[in-house]
Amino acid sequence: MSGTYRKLEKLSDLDDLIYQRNDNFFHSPDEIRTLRTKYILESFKHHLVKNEKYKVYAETLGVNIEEIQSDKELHNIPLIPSKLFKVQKITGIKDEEVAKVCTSSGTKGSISKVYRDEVTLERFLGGMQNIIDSLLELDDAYCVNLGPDTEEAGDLWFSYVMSLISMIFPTSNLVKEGNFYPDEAVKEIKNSILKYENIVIVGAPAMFLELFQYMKKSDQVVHGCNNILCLTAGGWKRAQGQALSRKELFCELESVFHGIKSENFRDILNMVELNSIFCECHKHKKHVPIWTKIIVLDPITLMPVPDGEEGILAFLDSSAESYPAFVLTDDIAKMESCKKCKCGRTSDIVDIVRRVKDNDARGCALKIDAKYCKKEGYND
Amino acid sequence: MTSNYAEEVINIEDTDGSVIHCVFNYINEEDRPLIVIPSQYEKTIRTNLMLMLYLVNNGFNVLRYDNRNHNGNSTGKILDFTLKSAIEDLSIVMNYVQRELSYTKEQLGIVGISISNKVVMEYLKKIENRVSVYVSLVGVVNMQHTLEAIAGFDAVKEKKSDKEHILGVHKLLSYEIDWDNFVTDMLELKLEDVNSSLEAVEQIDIPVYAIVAEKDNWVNMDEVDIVLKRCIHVKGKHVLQGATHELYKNPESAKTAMRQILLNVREHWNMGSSSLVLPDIMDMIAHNKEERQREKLYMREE
Repeated sequence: MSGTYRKLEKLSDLDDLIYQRNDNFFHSPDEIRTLRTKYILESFKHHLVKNEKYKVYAETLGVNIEEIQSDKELHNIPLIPSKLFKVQKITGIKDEEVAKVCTSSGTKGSISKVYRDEVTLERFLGGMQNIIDSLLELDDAYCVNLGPDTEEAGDLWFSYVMSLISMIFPTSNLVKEGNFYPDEAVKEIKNSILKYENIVIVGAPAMFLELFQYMKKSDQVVHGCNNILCLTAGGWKRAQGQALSRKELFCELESVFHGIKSENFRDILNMVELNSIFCECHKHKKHVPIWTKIIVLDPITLMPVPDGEEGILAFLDSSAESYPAFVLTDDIAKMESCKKCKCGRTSDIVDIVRRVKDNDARGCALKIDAKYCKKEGYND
Repeated sequence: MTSNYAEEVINIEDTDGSVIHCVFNYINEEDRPLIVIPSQYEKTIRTNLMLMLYLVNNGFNVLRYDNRNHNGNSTGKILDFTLKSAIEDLSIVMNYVQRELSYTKEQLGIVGISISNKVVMEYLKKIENRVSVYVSLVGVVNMQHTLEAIAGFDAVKEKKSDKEHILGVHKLLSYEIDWDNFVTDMLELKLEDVNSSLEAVEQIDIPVYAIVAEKDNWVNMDEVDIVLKRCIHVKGKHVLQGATHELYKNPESAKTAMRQILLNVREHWNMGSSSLVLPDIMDMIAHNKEERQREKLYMREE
């Protein structure tokens, strides 16, 4: 290119990774470790400068950034217990820079608040697009969201994330003014199944169950569903406490959506404190994007456990600018680090086993269940 | 927060009964310039929502439209998309805004994005079509190169070497098109290579601004250089550092580009140097909902 162009603002390497790269799941393990270490350390430095409370916290713990150089030392970055987001305002930005206050469900009365600025929210959206492109590989798709639109979702992060899919695909939202309309959902699916290459149905597992029960009760089936992709998110417990079986739900859906493939039944993991989504591939493995590292820690020593062993899930997400997304969660998980999956992709792979405390089940799905699902007629 | 503006849906009917679906966003002030934005290949009116918000919030009226034989709410399917039909669409829309909305050529500008750059250059090369200013964003100048970069094979070469060779129906990016129809039409119009861009640009005697992506994977920057050097009225050349072609996936570079487009057209119409109103992601999300609703309302059953 000749030198006569006026140069405009340069895109950062991290933004290049999130917005423009389509090879994020095709690096070697060494490349993954090198790249994510670079971005996570840059993010750590950023939060030490921007967030006085976090800096003091790191100093109190005696953490010296100079001593963290490699991927295997990243677990020394001070982690914020997710419960702290319920009691502290954890952000390094001014009030006027807050684009959205994102909240958890607060089923137990306490609500986590995460303050996202424009950059953080844009990266979340960009990362979502990147991961959908990379893991779902959908071209022409129509989305049926078994939840509310962005406006009705308000600050509740789970519903908001689900509704943001309308930024990517044409979408119909089936929760309106607090009511779920399964009849309209079926109509939307039937109307669009021949028009679009793919139909994406997204929602909490309980909403899928609600849809199934309506279809069963009204004796409805949809044929030719090999192009339907079901994306569940938000957890697998009902408001009444009982666990939902993923296998059973798929069998039930299979009985009303004829031709649907089990490989197209995918689960997504996100938490209000996490600025990325972990989406399943067709082998049902949840892949962690390259800008985020997950660590599974021994509950007593808080040291990383070997791959495949259960422990407390922590994540280091470099895409958040407005708050340190270095979080110790309430989830028990297992992981495989920089694993080459049978699907051909290489990344950290995470599997959530349960919550740390049984009586504090994952709140988002519970809130959705309690709010939108009928309380009678379930036989699960 | 964005300011108030009005919106009008305009369905322009052609003599054959087909319709070009347009969305006209305007502020209730007299003598505001109008920027026309044709949809880029595969995209629709909604794709250029953010650009519309940038322009309308800073004193410009905007008309976006869906091409016929394309995605969106105009007549026809993308399977039948051709450059010829896209050039006709632009011509019909420009005639409409002058005739029905009473804009003079001095009040009109066009932003051409990606493949639409070829469409706009072809339109502007005719004397009677000249508008006041043209802004090209990641403009394609060599269709053969771009098509090969996207599709991974040289359709133009294959068709040129054997007219009877069947290219078939398959995807260009996310959607299936009739490649035989598309490439044959392009060859008939002689729009396939960089020479057609050179020929067009030599005839365009209005101010031209160009914004290019430094790492454009679909456009050869050396060829862009050659084309812009041939254009005698280039008023500004800007490069989005680190950006690739698909700006709609890259909000950071897209914002930089939109800010620059805004600065270019403000400079062109001497609209002062008051501070810019820059919409943010929350504006985009809020307006996206309305755009989706309108999209659905005007969807064609074909």
